Amino acid sequence: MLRIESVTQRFGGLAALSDVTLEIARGELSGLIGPNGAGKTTLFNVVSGFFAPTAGRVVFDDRDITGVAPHELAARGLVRTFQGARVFPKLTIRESLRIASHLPQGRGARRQPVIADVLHEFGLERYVDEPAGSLPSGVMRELGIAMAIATGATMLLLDEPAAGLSAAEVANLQRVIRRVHDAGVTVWVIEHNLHFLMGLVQRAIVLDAGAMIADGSPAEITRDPAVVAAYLGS
Amino acid sequence: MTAGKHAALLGRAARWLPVFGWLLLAALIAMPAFGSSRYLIYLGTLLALQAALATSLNLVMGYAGQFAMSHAAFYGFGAYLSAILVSSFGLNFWVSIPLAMAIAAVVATAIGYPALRYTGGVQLALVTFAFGELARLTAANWHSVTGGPMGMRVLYAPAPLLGIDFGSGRGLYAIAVAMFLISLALVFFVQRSRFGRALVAVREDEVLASFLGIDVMRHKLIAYVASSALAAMAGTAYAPIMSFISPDLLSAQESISLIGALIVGGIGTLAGPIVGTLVFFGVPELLRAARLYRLVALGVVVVLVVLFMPQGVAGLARQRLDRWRRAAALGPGPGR
Repeated sequence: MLRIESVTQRFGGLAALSDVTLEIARGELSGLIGPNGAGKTTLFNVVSGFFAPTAGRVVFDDRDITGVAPHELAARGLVRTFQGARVFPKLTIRESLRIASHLPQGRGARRQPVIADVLHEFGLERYVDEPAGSLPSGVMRELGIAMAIATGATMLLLDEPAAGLSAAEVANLQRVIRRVHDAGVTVWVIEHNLHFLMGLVQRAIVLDAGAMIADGSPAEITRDPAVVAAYLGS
Repeated sequence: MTAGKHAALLGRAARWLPVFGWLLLAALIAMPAFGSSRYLIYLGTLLALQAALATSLNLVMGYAGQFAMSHAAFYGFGAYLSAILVSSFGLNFWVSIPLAMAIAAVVATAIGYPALRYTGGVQLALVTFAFGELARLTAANWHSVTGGPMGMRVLYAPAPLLGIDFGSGRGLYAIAVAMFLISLALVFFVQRSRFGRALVAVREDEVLASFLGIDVMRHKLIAYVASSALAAMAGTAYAPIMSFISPDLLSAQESISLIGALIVGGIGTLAGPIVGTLVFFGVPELLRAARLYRLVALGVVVVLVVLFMPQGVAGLARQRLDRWRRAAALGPGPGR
């Protein structure tokens, strides 16, 4: 579904990503891990159209999307969330979700959301008229995912959704991500926290210093000496 | 259960208040039409034009959140263009309205397209300010066409349309009110539309809006162009109403006054521009305050509003109403 072909990203003399090649299949629930500064968010930024890579190609649904604008990617079904929680702080959940259904509501909409009633499915009803900025951070993350789903996304890129959440909130978030995946959305999650990912994903891709160093099931990569070295230092 | 009863009562009041608001507006509009005072008609005409301007400015500033400083320039642009088309080219006044709007739309597109590509809005503020000054200086110096800094006398009255005479004071009042209502209706429908919700998303967070599938640039540009074309429309009526136009009409100070009216009334609300116009232009006129003191007093009002109720009069009222409505919806019970 998503193919990244020898993507390189340089900022000045620094190579944030060097020659990354990988493929994510439709219906996968996979993770992207690596120590701080490994280039995880940079890779997401390249894929989601935030900026075009210095070299290489990104292909989504068999079409080249290298450098395509974010709103056009969303129309094709590829949507990302942001580190922490990026919501409209002054707007209520109801207003935010109506805005997020901009694409499905449009004339000639290409898709409808896989979950028709995100408000109900995510248990957001009791906060429906609260401004998003006043929500507990766990609910804010869920709102971010609910908004992405409401656009009619077929693939979600989640950037560190669990950072700074309590154990109970993390468990809740894992349930929400599984629910979205079960509904047929391909999900790719960046996470710094190995424990969060290990219980969630089928496959994890490991980046270190801008290069891919491992790719496999959670059990495989935790045994991989290169991964252990990257995380613990050699 | 007195608290519950109280909430229910407030909730009912909250539901009916918008209706009272519309009735009050209708009464305000009807007053000059049925009264016989020429002064009242004249004042009503000016206020209707100002309200039309503030309402259309609200589209780009209040909903799309873009700081446009060119509103008075497009108002003056519409006035000059229509006056020149009618006086020098012998065009019918009614034909000059859509023509002036279309030309203003083309100009606004040319300004907005490069300036709106940036997130943050400083570029738009600077470019629109520069355009306003350019337009004012052009009007002041192009003697053969605009009459230069001394201004231009307007000697025509709108031609009768559908057998109705629009040349009288009351006819001009009807034109100004119609322009105000057209602007209000447009904003009313935009506010409830998918397009309007996307504008609010752009105002709140352009980056997030784009990742939700909203074409940010296109939405900002349409809002700016529509708002500027509406300003030009109001301008076409200004010329025959005042029988005189001068380059001062296009000055940045006029744009800033409009922005002040929006802030006082409540930016991003339907009633805000109307309330702001009445407070900003209506009250001083009724008090017959001199122009100089008007600006001083209004400066103080703007500072107080920004400090103590940043949502403006209408914004504050809406917030209160929402709270009461929700309290009523939650039903009888303590708390909240």
